[in-house]
Amino acid sequence: MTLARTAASPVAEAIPTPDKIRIVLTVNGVERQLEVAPWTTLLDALRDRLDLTGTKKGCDHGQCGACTVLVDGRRINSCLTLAVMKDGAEVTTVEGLATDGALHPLQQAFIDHDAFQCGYCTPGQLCSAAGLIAEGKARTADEIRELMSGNICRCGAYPNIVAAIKQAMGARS
Amino acid sequence: MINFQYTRANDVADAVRQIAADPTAKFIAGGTNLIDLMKEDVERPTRLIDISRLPLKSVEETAGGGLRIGALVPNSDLAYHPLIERRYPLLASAILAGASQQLRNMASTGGNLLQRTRCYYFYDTATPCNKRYRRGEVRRRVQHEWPRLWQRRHIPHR
Repeated sequence: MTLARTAASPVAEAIPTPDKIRIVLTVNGVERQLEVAPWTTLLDALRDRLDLTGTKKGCDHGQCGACTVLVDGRRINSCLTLAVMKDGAEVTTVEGLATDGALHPLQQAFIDHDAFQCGYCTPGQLCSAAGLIAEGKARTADEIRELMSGNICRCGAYPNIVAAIKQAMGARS
Repeated sequence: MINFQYTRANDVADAVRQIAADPTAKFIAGGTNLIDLMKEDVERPTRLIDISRLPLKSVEETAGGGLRIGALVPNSDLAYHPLIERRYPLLASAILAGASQQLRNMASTGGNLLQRTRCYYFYDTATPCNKRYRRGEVRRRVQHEWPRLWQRRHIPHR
C-alpha cells in the first residue's frame, strides 16, 4: 500500500481530506492499479473506475445481492466492502465468468431455463451461484434456495434460477 | 458517509495502540454492519483501522475441552468448521440462520458480537434514539426542542 498526496477537495466536514490510496486488484485475471479514496466501495471501484458495469448496485446495503462478486474465490457483497481493504485480492465479476468466448455453464443454464426477466439481479445471481457451487454445501433444491437467499429477484424468477443452478451443478459433477 | 482516514494495523499491539490514540477511530474487519451504518450516517468514525489481515482466524481446542475462536474467523467458516459442526451444532445452525452466505463470508466472529441493534429508530437519524445520542439528550430534545418546533408551526410568517 502506498500513499499518494492528491489535491485537497472541499468537504463539508472539518476532517482533513485523506490521501488517496494506491491499490492493486486482479480483476478477472487482469492486474489493475488504481488510486481510491478510503470510502470507495469495491462496487464503485469496479463500476466507476474500472468500467465493469456488469456488477449492479441495488440496495447498496448488502441486502439484495445484486453487487455479489467473488473475492479470492468467495462470494461477497461488494457494496459493503471498501476497495482499499481488498488491495492485492483477486476479484471475479460477471464479466469474468465466460472463458474464451464460451459461456460459463451457469450462464448457459440461466438462458436454458429462462432464469431472469429484467436481468438486473442476474450478474449477482450468477456470481453468487458460482460461489455456491464452489462451496459445495448445497445439494437439494431446498439447500440451493436457502444458500441463494442473499440474492433477491424482484421479477420472481426463483423457480427458474433454482432449476438453472441445479443444471449447472449437474454439468459440473 | 463522511470522509475518513484509513490505516492498517500491523499486529494486535499496533491495533490497540492506534485505537487508543484516536477516540473517533473504529476497527473494521468484515465491515458488513459498520459500513452499512456509516452509509446511513449513524456511525461517523474519522478513521478506520483495518484489522482484517491480523492472524486471528483460527479455531483451537482449549485444555478445558472448549474452543477458542479467533475474532476474525468469518461466520461461514465458523458455521462449517468440523469442530463446531460436531460439538456445537446449535451454534452452526444459529449462524446459518442469520444473514446471507455473502454476508457470512465477510462478517467476522468478533464483529458479530459487536453488531449494533437493527431497530428502525436507531437507523433513522431523523428520530431520537438514546443508543445514538448521549445519555439524556433525547429527553432534552423532547422536552425543549420539539415543543418549540410545534409552536413555530402555529405562528405564521416567523
